[in-house]
Amino acid sequence: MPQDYEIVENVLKGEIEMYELLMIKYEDLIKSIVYGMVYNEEVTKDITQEIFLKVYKKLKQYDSGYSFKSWLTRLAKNHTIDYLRKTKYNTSLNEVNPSNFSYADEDLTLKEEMKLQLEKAMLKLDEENRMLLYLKYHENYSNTELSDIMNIPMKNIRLKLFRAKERLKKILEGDDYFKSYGEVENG
Amino acid sequence: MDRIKNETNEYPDDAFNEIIIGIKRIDIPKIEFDRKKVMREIVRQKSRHGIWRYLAPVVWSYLTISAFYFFYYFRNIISNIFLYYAESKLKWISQFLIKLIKLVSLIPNEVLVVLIIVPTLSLILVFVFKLVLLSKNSQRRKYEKIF
Repeated sequence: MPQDYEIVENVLKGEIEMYELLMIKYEDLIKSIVYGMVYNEEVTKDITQEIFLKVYKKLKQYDSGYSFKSWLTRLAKNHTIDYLRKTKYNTSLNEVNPSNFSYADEDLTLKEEMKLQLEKAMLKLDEENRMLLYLKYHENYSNTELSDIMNIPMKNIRLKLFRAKERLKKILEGDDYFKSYGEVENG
Repeated sequence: MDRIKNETNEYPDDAFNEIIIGIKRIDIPKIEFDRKKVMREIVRQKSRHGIWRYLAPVVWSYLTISAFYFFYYFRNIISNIFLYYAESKLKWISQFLIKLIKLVSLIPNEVLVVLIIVPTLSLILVFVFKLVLLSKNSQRRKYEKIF
């Protein structure tokens, strides 16, 4: 597969069909980032489409000297946060949908409940902190990449992460999450 | 927080192990994403944008010509309006515009007709020519077939 900047150059030259290659390559990443912010499949689908349309329109602004993945993630992050703020998006607890929920297996049920608790707690975090934690621990972005994407000075990244985790922990402490975690881990 | 930082020389992750593992374990459900729909939308927008690219200069030129035409034929009325304001705060602007109107009035009708008709006709010709080119654009049709 050609490099990202080569694909971008070709798309800008008029080979629109090449843009589909970029979508194939980054579709899962964008879906994951958006889902990590909204925890709703339908909304994720809509926002992902909007993001790819926006990326195409802004492709001229991409500087091939920088990582396309970081540029794309920054655009996705901005678009998703804009969407959440514009629509005053607030997923009610009922809308967070535990996948493959099974009542037959108690252990699995507990794990699913914990997953649900964590998703609800994440939604209670402000958008910036939610995105920061999700990109760092779910998508394994480096601190350098996070600094670039989130527009946070490199020296402050660790502190920001620490504070975000503290906030999430406080929310989860109120939901007995850690009690459940102990039960699951101890079998 | 400073105490923790001083003790470990960094922000410790140990206290948040459960949270970190929890975030790592977040499952992403299978979400159907229609790439072709995005591509179709891109082609649609590109085509629309393409026509407007040719249409926009024509529309703007017509608006400019119309404004000029309007100005020319109602120059006496406009001139009177400016004369009314000539003694007020807008004195300088009014006097300048009155002079401008007088200057425009000096242009003979024949010259004016040529000034308006020639660019109008050439704009129409350019527009038609580009529209023909656009309709023959095989690349656009190719994309429409693909997506």
